Amino acid sequence: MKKIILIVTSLLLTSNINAKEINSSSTLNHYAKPGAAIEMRQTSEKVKVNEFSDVNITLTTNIPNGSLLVEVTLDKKLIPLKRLDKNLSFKINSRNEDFLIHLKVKAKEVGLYYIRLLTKLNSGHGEKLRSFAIPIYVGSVKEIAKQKTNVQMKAVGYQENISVSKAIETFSVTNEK
Amino acid sequence: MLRKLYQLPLLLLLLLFTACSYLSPLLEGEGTKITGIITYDRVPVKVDYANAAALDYSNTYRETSKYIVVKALNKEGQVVAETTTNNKGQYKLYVPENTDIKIRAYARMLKKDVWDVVVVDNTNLKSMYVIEGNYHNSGTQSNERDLHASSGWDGQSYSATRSAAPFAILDSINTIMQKAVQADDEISFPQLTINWSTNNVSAGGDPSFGQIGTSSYTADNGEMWILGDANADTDEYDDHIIIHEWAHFFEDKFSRSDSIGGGHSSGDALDIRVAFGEGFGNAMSAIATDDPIYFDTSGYNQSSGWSMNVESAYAENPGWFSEASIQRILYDLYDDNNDGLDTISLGFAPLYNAMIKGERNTKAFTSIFTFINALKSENRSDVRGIDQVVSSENINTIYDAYGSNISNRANGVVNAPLYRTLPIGKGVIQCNKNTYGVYNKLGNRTFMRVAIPQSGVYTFAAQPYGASYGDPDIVLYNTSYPYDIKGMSPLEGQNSDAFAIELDKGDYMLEAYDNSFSNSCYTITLTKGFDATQMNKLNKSSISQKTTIETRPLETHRQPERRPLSK
Repeated sequence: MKKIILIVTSLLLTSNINAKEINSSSTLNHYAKPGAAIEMRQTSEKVKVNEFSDVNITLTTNIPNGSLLVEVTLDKKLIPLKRLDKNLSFKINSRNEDFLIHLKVKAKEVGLYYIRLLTKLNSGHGEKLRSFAIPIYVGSVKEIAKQKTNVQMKAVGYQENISVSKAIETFSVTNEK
Repeated sequence: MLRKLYQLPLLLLLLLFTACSYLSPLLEGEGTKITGIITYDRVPVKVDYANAAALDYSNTYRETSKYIVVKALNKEGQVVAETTTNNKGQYKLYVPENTDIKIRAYARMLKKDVWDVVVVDNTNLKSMYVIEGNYHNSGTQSNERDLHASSGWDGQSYSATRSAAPFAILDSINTIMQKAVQADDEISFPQLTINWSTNNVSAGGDPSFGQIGTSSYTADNGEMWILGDANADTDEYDDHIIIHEWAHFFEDKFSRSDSIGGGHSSGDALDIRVAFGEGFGNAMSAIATDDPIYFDTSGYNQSSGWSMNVESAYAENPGWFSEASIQRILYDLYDDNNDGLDTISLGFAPLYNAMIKGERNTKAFTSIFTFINALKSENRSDVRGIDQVVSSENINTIYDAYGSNISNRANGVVNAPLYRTLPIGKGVIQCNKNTYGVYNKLGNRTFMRVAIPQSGVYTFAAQPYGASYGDPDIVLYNTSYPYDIKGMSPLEGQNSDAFAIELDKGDYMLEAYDNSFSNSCYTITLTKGFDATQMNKLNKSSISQKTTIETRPLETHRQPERRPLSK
């Protein structure tokens, strides 16, 4: 009996070790700036370098009919498992219908990457747009934080917490005292 | 060596003191005068016949940076002079003669006791953006030093630092603040921090990574967040969006908004609180800019955005529940362009006054009813013109803050009066509908007025009615500013709920809804005293009689979904 318990426990432990941490989010109940009436929810696996992350995206709209176009773009360092269909088109037949997008992506370097969606909704009264970004975490958050160096302006200075950039300057001396 | 170590703190202290210190400023006429103008690249928008919107880089022009902080620094890093630009972006400083000086312009709009708005990088330790020039010797003759912040656009892409963006954001804020100042020359704005970064993307998560969700105003900390994700969604030049978010700041600090947030669009039939808040934001952007074309650029090279005409867009499902109707009403009340039933041009001051007085203190939830009721009560001679504009959106004449005169039932979604009365000792059947969607759509929630005749303990309860039910929630509000939540039912995932609470004599408002947002009905009851029958129906293992009497602080309760973090 003890042996069985041990085996089951170790199996459970192994499966836990192999289970990938999931990042999930939803725009439902969150503020959205004016735009297309589209909600998005997603799950993506947090992965190691060169490991594929399984990404599931669901788009929903409360308009009863019309069309939904989705432009999908990946960060340059994200590699899709299959050839990416960058322009998706859905016909809306009923309210609160779910539109699913499934992707598998990986990266060769640690970092925080994004899959971006530009959605265009047309209900027959003009097109409205809304953008979404789905984060893909490659490496641990600690490693990713170290990589956060893509800030163009650096904080420097004289007790002030400032991000400095060079101005285009014109300088002249006038005759006035 | 040890002696040197002892000296180190002293040296550091000295270094800090000299590095941070301000030298005594020179008086006008002393030293060398430095004048100049601060400008930034303004990228305009172009909107085509199909209402597509794109940033028009080829027509970028230099715009002045108004009211921003400018400092002169010497080579030791000491501030030798400080000022702010005027309404033309001009500044004037007096600095020591024959000294190496550089000029630094801050993304901070400052007027003592009037406004203080800063733009910071939320992905870089909240550091404030600045631009600065080179060191030049001040000599003895006056200097002219103009600083310009570039957009970073090279004709094909953003290849250089986008240093103009923070100044563009400030200029949009200045546009709306000047409108408010014109309406009230004694206005004093609370400090406002705006978070913008090139890393700010349309993903929720960690703001220090730039995951801000969307451009928004967050009421919990009173800050704004603006997207900066090139080739996806940037908003630094989308002035209507910036002003829309500032309008939420205005509601929060000067007026009141009971909006529950959530997704929304101009064709939606919305919860009245959301419809008014979003319609007000859109109207404010058109009013501030005197331009009814609301736009949002996005996509590759910021070239595939959308736009709408706040005044004349096609009216999809107009009514008191439509943010588009509300923006059209507010803009028509304001503008000089009289069209259709619009024969009135109030300007901004009456709208401003209605917001900061009647709308702030109304006993009903904030909506078009509360706003128009306040506006009419303060502008008696304009009532006919106001009523005409309101009627153009399929809304009956508004006589009170509760919408008692509505006849537009939103295609049958609203059957009963918009606000019902919950009497003591009787039940009210309340039904939820998800016809127009969930969470913040019309029909998802029912409002009930509650009059408590004498102080004491009262029990509110929701029980299933009929065959369809889910997870009822009931929330009780105080009806005086700031309209806080007084109490709420504690259970999640149960088909009935109740709470007992000690109340003072007075008026309260109850909101009832199904948290599963299914089509369902409940009987809502109010009984005087601790109703053991109702309370005993609750899961006793999760809740005790003692803890259900609402005398505890709300922090120990399920967090209310109203007043979300973002608006």
